[in-house]
Amino acid sequence: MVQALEIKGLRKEYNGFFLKDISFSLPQGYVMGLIGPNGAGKTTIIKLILNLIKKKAGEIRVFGMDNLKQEIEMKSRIGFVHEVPSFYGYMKLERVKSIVSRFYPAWDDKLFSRLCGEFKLPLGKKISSLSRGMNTKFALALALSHDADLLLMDEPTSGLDPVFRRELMERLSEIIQDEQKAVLFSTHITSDLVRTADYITYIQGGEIIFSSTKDKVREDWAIVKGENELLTDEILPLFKGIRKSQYGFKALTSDIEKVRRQLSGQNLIVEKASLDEIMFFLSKGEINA
Amino acid sequence: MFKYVRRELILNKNLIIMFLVYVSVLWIWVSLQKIPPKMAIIIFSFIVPMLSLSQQAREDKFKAWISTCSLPTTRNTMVKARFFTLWIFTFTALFYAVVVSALIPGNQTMLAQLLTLKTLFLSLFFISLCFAFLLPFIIRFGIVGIMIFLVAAQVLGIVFLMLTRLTGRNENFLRSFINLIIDGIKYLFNHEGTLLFYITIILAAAALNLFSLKISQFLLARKDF
Repeated sequence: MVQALEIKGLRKEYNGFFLKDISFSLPQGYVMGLIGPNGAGKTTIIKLILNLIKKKAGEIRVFGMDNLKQEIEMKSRIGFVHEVPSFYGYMKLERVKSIVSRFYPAWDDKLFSRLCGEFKLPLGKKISSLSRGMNTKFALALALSHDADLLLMDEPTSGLDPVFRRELMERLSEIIQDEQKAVLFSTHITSDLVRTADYITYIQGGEIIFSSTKDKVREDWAIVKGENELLTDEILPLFKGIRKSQYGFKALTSDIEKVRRQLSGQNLIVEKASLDEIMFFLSKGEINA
Repeated sequence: MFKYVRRELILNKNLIIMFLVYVSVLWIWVSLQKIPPKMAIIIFSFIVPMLSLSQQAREDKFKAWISTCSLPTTRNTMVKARFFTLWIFTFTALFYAVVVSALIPGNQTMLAQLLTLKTLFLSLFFISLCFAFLLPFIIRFGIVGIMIFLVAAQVLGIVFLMLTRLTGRNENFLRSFINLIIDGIKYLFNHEGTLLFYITIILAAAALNLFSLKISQFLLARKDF
């Protein structure tokens, strides 16, 4: 299977933040959601792929191309949508398009016009007059119009209304249908990933907690509920995060079978964990409760 | 690189128009005030690189480096294109200044002085000098860096002046440095315009630009956006 994106042992240190030995891969034809709380390192990873910031160590390959040695070829195949699109505010949309299009040999003007029509983008208006959502739509139209094989999207849905968010997710699913393209998008709105993502990579404090298929995440991770007395020293290491109240505990585990075995015969409720719950317990759940 | 140069020219279209209007006004003022062409050239040489400052101010304001650096191009190419664009500005402005001078009635003497090979070469040399000094600074530290530099230079000047007063000595490092620059400029203007002089000027300008280009590329390559 050809890897659209392959990251090995990536490290970065800046402004007191550490990205520690990040490794994951995204095959062609799939959508990966990069999730984690604010400040986890999602944007840093995307910036490192695009060489917007310098890595300390590690390797980044896009369709087998080294992101530094084959920078131009690699970037030609990437479509980038930044969280806060940074275009020159005093320029009209069509002017920005005419500048950007020259850099991409595969630029499709008809597709761009069609997308602008669909997104209701006013080409004659200045960038500064667009709302944040419209700015994101414009960035998306630019990214899609040069037939990018890898779409990198940094929090693309944060400024969008629910209708367009849904449309965007559907469009991402369409993009990967030919099995040649791939999408990596970072978000902290986990509901966006439920329908679209095939892979989930969870990052927290600059470290990858897990990176696997969405189905495997659903199989492996669970919420366990029970009485506080069940939380013995042998059981505690099985939980990644625990919330306790006077009525009992609620904990996250990535090893359902072991929990079931060790607490067999006890009054337990085990439910599949949602991405929101995983994120909540991993970032806010007390471990040594 | 030319795609990037085209981008720079489109982005700065309005700025270039404003600049040409400014050059016209400046040149008319220079003619009316009967300012010597040598001085006019020095003023002009400091103003052209200011275009680069305005350009950087926009990059900073719109945080445009992120979208710029995500385009399929390298940072080295971006720096080369920026130097190349500034040279296009320079030649356009110089040519335009000559045209404006020619259109001002009774300005033939100044035009004759301007159109000598020596003044044109010296203009280009001084502009290179300003580019070479300013661009690495602008590229690495942005507009804020330049402001800090100017303020620091001003503070340093005040400190030197105070020290001169306090110690009662007329000679100090800053004064010597400024005198050295003035003497250098005087020497260049008074030197006979021989072939060797022109070749030296061209080589010095080329070496300065190349050095500045390499420093700028080195600095931008290490910058995180």
